[in-house]
Amino acid sequence: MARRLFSSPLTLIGLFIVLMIIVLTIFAPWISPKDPLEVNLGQKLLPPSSEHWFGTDEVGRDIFSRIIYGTRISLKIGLLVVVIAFPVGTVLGAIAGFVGGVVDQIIMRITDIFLSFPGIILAMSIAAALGPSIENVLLALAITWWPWYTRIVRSSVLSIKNAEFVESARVIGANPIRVLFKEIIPNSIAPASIQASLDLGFVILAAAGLSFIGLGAQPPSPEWGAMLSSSREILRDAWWAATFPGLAILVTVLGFNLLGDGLRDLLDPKNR
Amino acid sequence: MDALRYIIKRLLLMFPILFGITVLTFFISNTIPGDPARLAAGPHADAKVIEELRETMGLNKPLYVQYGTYMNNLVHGDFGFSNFSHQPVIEDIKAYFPATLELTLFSMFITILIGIPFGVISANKKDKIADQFTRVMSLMGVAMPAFWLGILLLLFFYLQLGILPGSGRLDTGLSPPVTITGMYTLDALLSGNWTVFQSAIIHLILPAITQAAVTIGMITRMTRSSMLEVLKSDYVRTAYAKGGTDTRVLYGHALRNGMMPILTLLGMTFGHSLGGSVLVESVFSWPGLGKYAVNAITYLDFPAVMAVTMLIAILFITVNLIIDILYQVIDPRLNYD
Amino acid sequence: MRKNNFAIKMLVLALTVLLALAGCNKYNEETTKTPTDGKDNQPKQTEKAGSGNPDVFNYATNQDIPHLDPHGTSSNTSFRVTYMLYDRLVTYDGTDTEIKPQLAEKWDLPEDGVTYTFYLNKNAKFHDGTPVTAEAVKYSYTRALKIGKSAAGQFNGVIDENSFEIIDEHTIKIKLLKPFSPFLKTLGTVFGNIVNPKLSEHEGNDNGEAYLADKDMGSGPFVLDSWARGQKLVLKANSDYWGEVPKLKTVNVQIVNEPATARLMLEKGELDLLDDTMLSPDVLKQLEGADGIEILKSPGYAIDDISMNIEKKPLDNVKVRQAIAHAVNYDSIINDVLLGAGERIGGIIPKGMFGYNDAVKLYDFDLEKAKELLKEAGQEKGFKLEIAISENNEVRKNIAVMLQSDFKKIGIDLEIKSLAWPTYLDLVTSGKHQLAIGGWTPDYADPDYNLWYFAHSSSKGPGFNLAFYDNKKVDQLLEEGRQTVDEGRREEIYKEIQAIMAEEVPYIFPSQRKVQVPVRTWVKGFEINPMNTWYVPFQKITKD
Repeated sequence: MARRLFSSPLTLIGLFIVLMIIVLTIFAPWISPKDPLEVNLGQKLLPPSSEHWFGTDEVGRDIFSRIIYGTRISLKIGLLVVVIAFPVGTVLGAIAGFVGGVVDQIIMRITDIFLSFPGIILAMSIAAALGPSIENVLLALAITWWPWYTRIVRSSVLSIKNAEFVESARVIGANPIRVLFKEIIPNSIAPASIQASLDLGFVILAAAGLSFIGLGAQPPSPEWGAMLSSSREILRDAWWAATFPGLAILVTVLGFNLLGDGLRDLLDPKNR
Repeated sequence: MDALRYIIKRLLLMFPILFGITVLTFFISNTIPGDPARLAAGPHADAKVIEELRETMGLNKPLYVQYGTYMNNLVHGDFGFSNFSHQPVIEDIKAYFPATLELTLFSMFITILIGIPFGVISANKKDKIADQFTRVMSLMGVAMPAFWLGILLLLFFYLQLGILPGSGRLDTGLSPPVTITGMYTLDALLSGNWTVFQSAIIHLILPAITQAAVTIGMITRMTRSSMLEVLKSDYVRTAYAKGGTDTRVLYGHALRNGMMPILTLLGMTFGHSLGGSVLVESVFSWPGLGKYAVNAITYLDFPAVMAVTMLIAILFITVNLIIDILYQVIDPRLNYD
Repeated sequence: MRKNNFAIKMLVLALTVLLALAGCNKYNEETTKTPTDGKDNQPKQTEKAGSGNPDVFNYATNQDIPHLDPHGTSSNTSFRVTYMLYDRLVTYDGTDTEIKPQLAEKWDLPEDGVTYTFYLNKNAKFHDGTPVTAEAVKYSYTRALKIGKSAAGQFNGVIDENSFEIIDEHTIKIKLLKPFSPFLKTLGTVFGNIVNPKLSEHEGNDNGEAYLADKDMGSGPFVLDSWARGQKLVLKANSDYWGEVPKLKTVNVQIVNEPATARLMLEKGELDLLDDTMLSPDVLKQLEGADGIEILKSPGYAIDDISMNIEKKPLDNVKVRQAIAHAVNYDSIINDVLLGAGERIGGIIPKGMFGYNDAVKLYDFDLEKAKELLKEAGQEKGFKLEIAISENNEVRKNIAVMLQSDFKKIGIDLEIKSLAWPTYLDLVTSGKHQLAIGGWTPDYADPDYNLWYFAHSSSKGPGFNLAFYDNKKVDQLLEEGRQTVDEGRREEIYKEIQAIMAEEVPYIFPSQRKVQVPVRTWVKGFEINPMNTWYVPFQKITKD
């Protein structure tokens, strides 16, 4: 299995990026050369130099240090949203597929409501009602994300519902809840987990988008989307102020996607 | 008859979903702090006026009564009145939605044009350079913050090369064509106005590419994985054995058989894109539904918020219903559950 | 590579189509072609950029225009258009903040303190050709009062529906309910716009608000030509204008949401003028000296303010407020954030306006002094504060970030809340905030305007006294000022109020802004009024 993983250079690159982000997240205080929040208006918008590797922003903060601290915020959002949405979506999907009938109908219609509800309206309402903050972005994203897992899990449950091992568990009179959690969910969770690994990247991207329009991270937080947003006007004159946060988002999302794709190729029997 | 029953059943199911959406939107948007009457009255209006406005806007009644009134009007085809634009919400929608629809159709066209061939190449050349290249390219599109991509495209194609316009739907000197569908390209064609048509098309290019960047990546990935599965099947081998050319086998047989999951995803993304993208619309000053929705929430223009939400939901559900019906056309073996 | 040629063919085809279409139009060139000369009605490509065309003016703003009812709107973007479509009895001309005659060619000031007589210009006529009459004046002001929205804020308590007496077709007497010295000045604001009384035929049950929302029933130098919502509003010169007919034939008011895009369009010459609030000082500095672009600079009456809600602890303690005033790095705000486009000021009356007090106490940036004051107030252990800003304003965000960093040094932990405008408005007017950064530009140049809103206890909250400041002496002085005719006495009153407020610091005023407007160098005749930047005098602008 490991050999298969390493045989694909793209997966390797993805793995490398993700590992790097984890390292940066953990060791941010030791790696960043400067305080990411320290304002120094005398040094605003300096181009990259040996002193400031990525230059400084509109209030003279060190962009390199801000990008490194930004990994903490992005990774936190990505993980938490998936950690909230995944179990909710999975359990509901499994119940819908396993129980069927009216329960299935009710769960799937609720899922449809959330799927067809425009995400931006939800996110803005939450931000307006509870105040803009990274936590509320997290909430908004989790609410829009769970239905996707419900759908995926439901369809895989349907495909194994009548498989032999489920039948035999039923025949020996096992408790249905036990069957659900012991047999059904573990055996139908693979496609959803691959999706979850891809979603880490998408969540980070979506959160950056919301911060970009001012719904997420509040100043002076070094969130990448917010950094990109506040430097957009001067993109043409101080290219570094927008380019590095943009690249940080690009590389991170790319990393999670490459890794997720690699895992899919590896785990999904259909693709073997 | 099965098919008809299925369609009717699905159409009927739209009602509980739409009902759920109205409830959700109504109560969520009403948790937003702020007084719509105050905003409508503007600063320096005195308390008496605000009180009167609250009365005429029905804001003094309990929430469930307000909801009841709204639904009653809705059933009678009245979407309410926008306190921002001072005109019926339906008029606003008529002005903003066609722009979004046009942009979405165009970007979907680009998505299909690029995404599907990319996916097919990628699957056919699995793990070869061509595969790596197409995958990285399409993933870059997904991973790139839309806004950043938009501005970079502008810098290059508008400022440097000067071959594409920077904002809006038409050249400043041109007037929109006669409104038939509200989509400038189509209306210009229908009214035979070639100059406007040309201008409308070139104004679509950059926003459509920016919006398509994301969907191309998703479609490429889905096409690739669907094709990988199909390519291993017997009939593809048979087709090759019969001496079919690559192009014929790939696009004729394999793609056709692997089309279903791709269509589903296309339907989903199309449905979502119809909600408009605030970021893309902002960069290119595209007067679409996304910006309208953001404005509506910002100014607590609840009738507008409700209308937009419902419109998007209906479109989303309809598109997906159509896709499900298309399944039937492609694969009649499917049964309806 | 034969195998993939289908895909490649498709790509090549697509690219060819795109490039062929794109090639039809060059967006780079500043066309030197002469504009079409009327014999050809088909719009020509040359008109597009407008750069080679002295008749067409392209103006961009980033906020949507909601509607065009002059009495029902409080939106700045609407003001700009309604100023051009409608006339007022009096107007502000050029850079002068004193009123000039417009529809009223002269007027008699009251002898009894309350009765004004206006003599209308007999040539003035509405866009449909009907003359502007005394009836129209009465109709418009009554309508503003009936609608009760923003416009009425100027008139409430000053006039009511019985205040008007029509002497003859072109003479009207207006009798105030009580003396109000700034009355004439209020008539020059956008709310004093005179509407064609034919509107009464379309009133419905909403005073014609819905009808007038997308129409023009004015007498102004421009007429409304077309309006594609969210995109572009086109004004055409009123060739029958009773006053001086504008030189520009067409003004396109374009909605360009993204300042970054608008700036590129200005650089390309596709836009002639940008909304003065659109670009941040950093970008303006970059544009300075750019080829073909000029940054017009002129004095402004816009003031940045930080309100401290004195109903919230520990801001109720004057020592704490003084400490905070000492912890604001004014020089850095003016030099590093505004890049010099502002100056230090001690109160809410801008420098240059009648009643300005140049002798009030100014707090210097002195963190030691601030710490001392906090100690005297018993707050040396430090505390947490929240500051509210409205989103999408780079300057205010940067000021907030700067305050945050300096306040930390005196033990104040400042949390920034950037909120959408309505949410911000709700927070500050309901007094749930602690600190809030805002901005203020007077609608007319009278100290009563600024001070009444900021300092009178009746203005707390919705009236924009966001510090919830309450001082009986100040209230008394303000009321006296409104009813005093003698300008000398009024000046004394307003100076005294400023001095009192400088001691009690309910507000901090980081700067009085200079107006900076990016234009193409070919734009001539744009005079910027310090007080009313929403008034862009398109009727006087020319291009060459």
